[in-house]
Amino acid sequence: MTEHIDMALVNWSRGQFAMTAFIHWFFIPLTIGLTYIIAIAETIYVRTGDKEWERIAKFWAKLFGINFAIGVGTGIILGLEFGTNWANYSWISGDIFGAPLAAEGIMAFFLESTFIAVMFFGWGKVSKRFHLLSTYLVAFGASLSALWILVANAWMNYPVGMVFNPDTARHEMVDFWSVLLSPFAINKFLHTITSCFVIASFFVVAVSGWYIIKKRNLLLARRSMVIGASFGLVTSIFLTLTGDGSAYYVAQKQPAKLAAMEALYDGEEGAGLVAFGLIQPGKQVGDDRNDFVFKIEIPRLLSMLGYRDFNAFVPGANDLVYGNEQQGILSASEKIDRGRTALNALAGFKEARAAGDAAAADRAREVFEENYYYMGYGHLFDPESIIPNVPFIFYSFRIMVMLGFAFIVLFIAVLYMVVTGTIHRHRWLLWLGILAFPLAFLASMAGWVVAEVGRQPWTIQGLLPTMMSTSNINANAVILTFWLFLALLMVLLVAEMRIMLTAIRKGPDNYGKDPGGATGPSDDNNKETMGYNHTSKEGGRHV
Amino acid sequence: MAKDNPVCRFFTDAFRAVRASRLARILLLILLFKVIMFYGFLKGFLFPRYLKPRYESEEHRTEQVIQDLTRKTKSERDDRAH
Repeated sequence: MTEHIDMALVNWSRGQFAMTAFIHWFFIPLTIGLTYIIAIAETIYVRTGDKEWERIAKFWAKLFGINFAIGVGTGIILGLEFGTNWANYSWISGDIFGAPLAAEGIMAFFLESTFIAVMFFGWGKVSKRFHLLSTYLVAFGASLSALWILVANAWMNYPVGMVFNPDTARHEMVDFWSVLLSPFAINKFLHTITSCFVIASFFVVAVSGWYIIKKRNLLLARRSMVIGASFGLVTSIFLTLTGDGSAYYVAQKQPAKLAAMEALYDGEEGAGLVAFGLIQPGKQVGDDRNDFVFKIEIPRLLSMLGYRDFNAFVPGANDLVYGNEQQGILSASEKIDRGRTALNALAGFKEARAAGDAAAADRAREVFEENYYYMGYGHLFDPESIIPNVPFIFYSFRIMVMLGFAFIVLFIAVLYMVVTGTIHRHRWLLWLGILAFPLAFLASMAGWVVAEVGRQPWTIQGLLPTMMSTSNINANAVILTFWLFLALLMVLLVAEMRIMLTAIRKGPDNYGKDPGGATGPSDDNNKETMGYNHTSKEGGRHV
Repeated sequence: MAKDNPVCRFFTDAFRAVRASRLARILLLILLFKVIMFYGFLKGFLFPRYLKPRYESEEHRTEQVIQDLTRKTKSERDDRAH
């Protein structure tokens, strides 16, 4: 049954997409998040006329520019992969997937790239207010770019607004608004974009913290840290709310993903949320071993979060694989049978069409449409394969959530210390702020693992398994391009890190100088303003 | 005349700013490298010549996809018939 599927091709294609998406992601959060931080600093400058805020906005704009210039276009590789490695998927869902991507190109990219020129080169050449407007439009454009990509991704998790045309073997969009405004799309957009804000906030906190440790650019560092920590705190809290919304819809529409997130094998009413635990090594669906070596559980919380009811039944992996008549859950075997009926009907439809037998074609189409919802299951070999990799999803989810809550505490601590003017006395906190930047990336990538690996075995939930989505090409071509793309992206990533670190070490342009007889504060002045005292290590309060 | 045009002046100033800044020149080189690699080499050469799956027409592609989707179930039906 499996002889026509080249699993090496499937696995290398998956690996290549994961690799390129992860490296591409390194550039995204700073592009999206930093623009808002720049806009906040520039807004304060426009309102107060304080030149220091202009310098702050310009400094972060320079770092944003480095990230933007090196990162822009890295997503093209992902687009190429859809054509080379995922031709079946691209064909089957191209009508849906293509529309948001085209919208991104036309609306968002043009908006972003037009006003970015004003943002970089318009200082002093356009009015302050127009420049500020341009900065906000760049920020808005970057977010809009993310919206369309995430709408497309959300559709893969929760396919709506389309019909399958058996003549062309394509999903055709019939309701753009239900694709755009599906609860999955809204939550995914808000959750992902907020995570970008948090990462960018940590970038600002980390760079500012480093300056404070090095006793350089102190006024810029302190003010930037106030913006970074405030923005980070607000968005971190919003991140937990959108995360709750995401988990709620996962519970409704992707119960297998939820079961993997919670390592829940046997469903129960009033299910508890595992705060942390160690999954029993080698535990498989259907075996009777204990699920956990140990676990710390919050009673009934999973039912509440997933179904807004403390007593709701949450299906486990065993319920989803073997069925649960009492709860009205079909077994995976039953779904596989229905899926095969759909695929048989599709094949029969094409044969009848080719033979010119309209009546037989109509009958086949009717059977196909009755069982269409289970079409993807018809490709599966064994019922257990509907459950994604449980330990990988379980631990990734916990990494994301625990770091997310730790970030809130850290932002509160940093904000309190910097506002009270005592941050420079707590070097451990400054180092923690620096460490939090890579950890924020780790948390976001763990989130992507939960979202994407958790959707397996599907590319389009329930309708198209990953193994059926690939192209009819040789696996060696994918292996070759894997290494080629890896080399290319690593060159860009290393260039980004080197140039960024050099720019951070150098600091803001003309800092401490007074080019136009303006009010640029020197580093020494900064130290005083900061409340720094090198001899006594006593910090004064400064707001 | 063109020098007095604010848009032209904007672009001239931007060009001068890029020339004057080492960082901007490096970033411009990286952008150029990406354009050549992504659009010239990958999208213009490697992808269409060697990597893109070949279909004679949209109909051919439709046939191919449906064949892929139904191959397993078709072989099952044939097995049952035998």
